[in-house]
Amino acid sequence: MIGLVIVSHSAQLAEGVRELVEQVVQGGAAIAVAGGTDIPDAPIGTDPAKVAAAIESLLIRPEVSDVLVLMDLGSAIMSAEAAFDLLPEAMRSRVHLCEAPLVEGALAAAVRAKIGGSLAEVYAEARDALAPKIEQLASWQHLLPAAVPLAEAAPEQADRESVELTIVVPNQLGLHARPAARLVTLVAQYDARVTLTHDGRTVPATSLNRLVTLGVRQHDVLVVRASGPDASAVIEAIEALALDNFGDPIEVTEPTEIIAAAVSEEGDVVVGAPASEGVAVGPAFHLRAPAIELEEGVVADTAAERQRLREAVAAVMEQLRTLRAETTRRVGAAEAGIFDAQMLMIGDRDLLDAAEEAIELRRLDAASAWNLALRAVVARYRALDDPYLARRAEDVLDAGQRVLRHLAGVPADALLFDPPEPAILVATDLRPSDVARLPAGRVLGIITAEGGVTGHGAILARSLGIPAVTGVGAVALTIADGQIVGLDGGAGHVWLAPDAQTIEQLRQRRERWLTERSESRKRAQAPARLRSGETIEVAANINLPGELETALLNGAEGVGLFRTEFLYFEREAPPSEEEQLEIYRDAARRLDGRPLVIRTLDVGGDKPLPYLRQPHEPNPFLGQRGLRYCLDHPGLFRPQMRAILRAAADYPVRVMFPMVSRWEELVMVDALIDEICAELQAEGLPFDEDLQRGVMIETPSAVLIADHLARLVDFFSIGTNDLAQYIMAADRDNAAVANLVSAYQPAVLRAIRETVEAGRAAGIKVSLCGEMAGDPKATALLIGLGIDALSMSPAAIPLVKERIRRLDMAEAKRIAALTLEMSSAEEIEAYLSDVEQTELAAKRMESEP
Amino acid sequence: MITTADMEAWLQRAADVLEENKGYLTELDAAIGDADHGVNIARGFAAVVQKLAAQPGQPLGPMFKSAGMTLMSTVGGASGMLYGNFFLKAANVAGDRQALTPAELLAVLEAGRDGIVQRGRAEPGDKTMIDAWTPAVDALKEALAAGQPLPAALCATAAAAEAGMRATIPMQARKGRASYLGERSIGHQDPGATSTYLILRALADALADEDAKQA
Ligand SMILES: Nc1ncnc2c1ncn2[C@@H]1O[C@H](COP(=O)(O)OP(=O)(O)O)[C@@H](O)[C@H]1O
Ligand SMILES: [Mg+2]
Repeated sequence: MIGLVIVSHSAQLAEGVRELVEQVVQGGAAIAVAGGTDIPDAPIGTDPAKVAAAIESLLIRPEVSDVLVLMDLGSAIMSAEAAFDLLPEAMRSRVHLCEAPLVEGALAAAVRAKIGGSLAEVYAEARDALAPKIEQLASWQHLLPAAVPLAEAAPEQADRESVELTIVVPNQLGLHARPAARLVTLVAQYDARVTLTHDGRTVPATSLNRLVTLGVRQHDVLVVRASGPDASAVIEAIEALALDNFGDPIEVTEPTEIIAAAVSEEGDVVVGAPASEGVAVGPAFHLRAPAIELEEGVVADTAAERQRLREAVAAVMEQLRTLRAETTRRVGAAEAGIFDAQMLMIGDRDLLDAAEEAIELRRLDAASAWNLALRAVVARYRALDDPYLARRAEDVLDAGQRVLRHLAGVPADALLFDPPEPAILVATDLRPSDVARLPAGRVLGIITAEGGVTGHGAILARSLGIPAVTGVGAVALTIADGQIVGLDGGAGHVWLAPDAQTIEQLRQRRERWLTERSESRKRAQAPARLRSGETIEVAANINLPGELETALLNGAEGVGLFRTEFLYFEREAPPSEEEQLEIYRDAARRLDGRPLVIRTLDVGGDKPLPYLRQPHEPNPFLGQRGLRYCLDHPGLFRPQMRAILRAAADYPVRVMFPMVSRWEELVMVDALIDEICAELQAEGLPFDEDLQRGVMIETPSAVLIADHLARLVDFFSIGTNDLAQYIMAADRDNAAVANLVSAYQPAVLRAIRETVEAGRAAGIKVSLCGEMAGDPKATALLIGLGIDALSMSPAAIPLVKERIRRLDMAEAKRIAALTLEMSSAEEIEAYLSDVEQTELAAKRMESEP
Repeated sequence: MITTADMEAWLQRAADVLEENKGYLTELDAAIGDADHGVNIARGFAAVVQKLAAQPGQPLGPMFKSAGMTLMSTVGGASGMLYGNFFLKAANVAGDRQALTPAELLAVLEAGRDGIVQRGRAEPGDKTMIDAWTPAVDALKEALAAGQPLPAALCATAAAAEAGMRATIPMQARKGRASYLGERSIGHQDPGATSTYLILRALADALADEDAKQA
């Protein structure tokens, strides 16, 4: 509920207003007064301390969300402003000074507040409170001297030349950010002044923020007025846009936020995606951009300060443009749309004008002025009834804070997780770079608003062994820092406000989980030997060096896939040879004699690097990726090969090449390696001239010519993720066909069999490093097919090792043979699940004699 | 160096002078306002002095802050909020210093003046206390830049405030209560500008005295 504070010079007037209001709303209002002073001989006046106390008395009431302060005049306004300064920083964003006439405004606001009006509604109601009076007294106007209404005449005349259009908004979700953005963009192309009127409020059509905060819903009536040279043309264009449903599809699936908000909420349990197993309970802490300390300063040269602000806004527009381009390439145009909206939001003249006015009139510094203007817009968004639109407040805030950071000279993408004690990390989503910088020991668990089980956040959380629930929706962002929350990453449950008993239960479950984990880790240190005696090598896939520790704890016998992309992303220039050498050596050192298989850079049109000019490829998955790209860019490739060769001088380091489809590619790599060896020799640098090489088998072509490839390498490593995608000719990022991309497809299994046979024939090792390697359900099948080694996410190692130990080679072969008889992935998966269940049941029987 | 004792002496002297001129200021306010400025401001500064006596030995920041808060809650009129913010902003600059160099004193006064602008949004020429503050701060800056000793520089400051105060007479008020009078505010001296002059005069006198004592 919105609370009201009445500020008046006169204690009696303030009390009188309260009396009037209470008589109308009958106790249904949250109202406090600050009237007069406590000075005995000067009772008429205002006291900021009193005003601040009145505001606080309302804000501490749980039902009050925001406070609207109404005041009489003169120093009462200053008192209200001074009171605002006296309030604790944290309260200020919930306090709004309102210019409405005191008596009329207070009555109108109170009525609206009583029926649960939003801040925007209560505010608008107060501001418009004079309207009925003006209307009623209009008949008296003829008695006024002529000069008064004349002032009003000018705009009216302009209006006569204006063109008007009435639209019934067709969009299912109302005029939300995207259609509104289209409208604003359209209007900007015409030389016309265009306003939109909705429910008595008129806003310029050039301001996205104002437009969205009108809160227009489906079937609402919108009056468009245009004047100026292009008036008719712009109206026509707007009409066409409206007929086209403002560019939205007619049937829109609800935006993800709404879906997320609708996830089942049982009591205080929210359900998200079970991203990484484990239980955690503890204080929440948000991953956030470093807070900018605003020191309100008074500036002398306001023109220079305005210039500074404009430059900052321009710089942020540029950042957003880059983000949009990157996101379009990496994810898709739809996901990049948010940046378009953010550009319109902070490029909004209205916002900039308000900030510049604060610089001019209040002599505020650029950052404080921008912050002030930004807060006002954010408050308007937050006050909207529509939860989807209200969520846009975060988008404005997010973009707006970029400006503050720019002004403070803070790098654009710096994110910080710096809790006072180990905590549960809460974030919108996690980028690989965020995770790379996490102080792993201080992260008890991870909760994200967005992202599924296959997002970066989830993959990395799993590999670090941190319990995580992803995609819980916007509620995640409402969790306060320090609030005790709980999560079960296996079930995908998050407890937002667990009671003491639940906390205790979660603590116990966490203890149990940790004990079980440490026991299974202990067991995992031993080799994975089948009952029949054969050993299978079990290694880890590593995305970031930070995961090595978990991998070793979990019993990894080496690294079967050391991805090197992390070295190249999110930076301005490629890593130098020396930098890479250091990182490879460091990883090898930490592995303490265990083998390290480094995969050379695997980039392409789908994972563009900012500092490389990669031509746009219409079909990046079938474009210049992996080794193809590297061979074509020796400037990028040579330093990496040199670093690997040099690291191999002292450690058991191997190299592996991705995305190979032709024999010649390996011949070319060989030639290049020979060349580099000669170079290193000449330079007198130590290197491993017998560097072991492997090739990833991940294209159908590589499978079919595996016998040729085998002659040039020391091992195969089957990458089932890409292999499945290419064999099935289906894009795993395309939801319509993603379900085809399964390693359990009979065709993929046959490809694995072919590869193993080719490897056997040539006498080289065959390993498998796709996701399948970490799925215990696949273990028997893969071993039965003859795979020698498995490399998987560190978290999966203990379970897979246990599974291997319970296997018998003959049995594995039988399972593989049976599987290969089956004609569909569905049948295969069902059968393998069955086998696994039976296995588990047998194991349970054994352990409970 | 300007010490906390100097600043206490200033506030004490300002309180005395405002008390003496209470009638005069109120008379000025009667012409274009509501006849309370003298009473208001004298009461406020008296309260400030009382408060200071109760908390001796504070660094300058806390001392100014306490003065600002006291003025805001004991003056009652617009000038309470304005002088109050003057001292709050001055306090930010003074911090935990126990003494000020002349340049720091200038910075303190300038920040205070900006605080008045921030709160009242008056511009020079609006017929307010800003018309006394702005030329006064400028004069102090110039005098210090010209290498004048502090007592002389503060005399120049007070003189500039006085000239600014007189210059409000022909102005039409555009801020504060007097602005309701429109053209009828022309021809009267602004009470707030007058109290500002008195306060700055008190500053010059207080520091001249100190100087004399030391000499
Ligand atoms: N917005 C303002 N900015 C600067 N000074 C102002 C402003 N409003 C009023 N004043 C100053 O305050 C003086 C009046 O003070 P006072 O009588 O205490 O307040 P009130 O007008 O509330 O009775 C004016 O003479 C003027 O110098
Ligand atoms: Mg007065």
